[in-house]
Amino acid sequence: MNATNRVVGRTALVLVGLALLVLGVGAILVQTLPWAATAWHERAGVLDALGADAPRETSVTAWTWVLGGAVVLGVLAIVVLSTLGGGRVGTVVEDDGSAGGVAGSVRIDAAAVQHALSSAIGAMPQVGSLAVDVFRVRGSRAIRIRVRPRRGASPRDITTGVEDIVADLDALLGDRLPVLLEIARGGADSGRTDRVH
Amino acid sequence: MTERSLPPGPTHDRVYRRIVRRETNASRSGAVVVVMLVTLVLAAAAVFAAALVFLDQRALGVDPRAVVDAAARAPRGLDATVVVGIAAIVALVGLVFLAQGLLPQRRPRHAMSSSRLAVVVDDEVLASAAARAARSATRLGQDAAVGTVGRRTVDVVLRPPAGADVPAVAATEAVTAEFAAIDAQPGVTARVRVQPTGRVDG
Repeated sequence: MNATNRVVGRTALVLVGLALLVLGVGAILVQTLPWAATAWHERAGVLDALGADAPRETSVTAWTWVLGGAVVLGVLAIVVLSTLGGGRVGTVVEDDGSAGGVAGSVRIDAAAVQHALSSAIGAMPQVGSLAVDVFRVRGSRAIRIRVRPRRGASPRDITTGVEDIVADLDALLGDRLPVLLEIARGGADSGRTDRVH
Repeated sequence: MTERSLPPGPTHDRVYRRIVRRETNASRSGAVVVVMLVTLVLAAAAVFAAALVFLDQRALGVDPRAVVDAAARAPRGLDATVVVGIAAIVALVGLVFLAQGLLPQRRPRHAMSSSRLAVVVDDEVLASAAARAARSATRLGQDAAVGTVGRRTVDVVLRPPAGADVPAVAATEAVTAEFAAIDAQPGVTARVRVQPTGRVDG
């Protein structure tokens, strides 16, 4: 539940994959089929300016375009890489009281919510271990509770217990934040005999 | 639990749908990192080649302009085996990236209904709960029940010790009741089988 933009990532995958596929298949066709080679030679004239026989002026202009294109491509790649991950935040609630017309601001740190939830949920008998994190989702805050249950624990019991605890948190914060409960495998005391295909 | 006076407030339906969708589908960030590194290397190579042309230099005795000429004249003057081999590798890598971008990849997880939370649960946890529920209706030991969860099914195999009688119907009812309470999405149907070959270590 991080801030990765998945649409950008998948679009980049499709575009680069398609480009490499076309390049590879095209090279094989040109190398092996005479008609493909003829078609390639008809179109390869646009590469003349990049070749060794071009006059110096034409050559420099053409290679400047190559340089510019490569720089733009590199910057785009770095931008896409920078969209991966992130989104974890340190505050849960930040309110300057403007709605009530009262001066002063309230800020609740993520650590406060983490400690409160951890101690309350950790006391449940079905829970082996847990982690609480606060993320930014679409501009607002969301809490992720990752629980590793003990072997054989009922997911419904855990959900009901966490619902009660989150209801208490709602009353405390005076706000209903979105909460994700993730019941994950492999907690303390989880067995090896239960499998998934 | 005391009476709470909090207003119904927002239910976060849209945020929850988005979160559950993201949590039940695999992230492609690993593949995206690889693709972007490949792109960066190619871009750096193009910048390097352009710099060589501007300075009228060659790298390892090769002029980038001669490389372009050789490509334009293909297949004349190129070794077919080498070109086809490299091109096949490039095409294959492209196909893998394309598949990563287009094909759906689900994580082995289910969503659960909840009035307040977005809940996702690993299939392994469901399998474990199914095995425990089946066992609770019988008098079998810890290792006598094995649960397996697919996307729409849960299978529990009971392996009773030799000679023991197993109430298979009661076990099936227990597993069905457990999954009715869990209310996983997509829904799963339970099936309990008793292995006819008894164990001796039981």
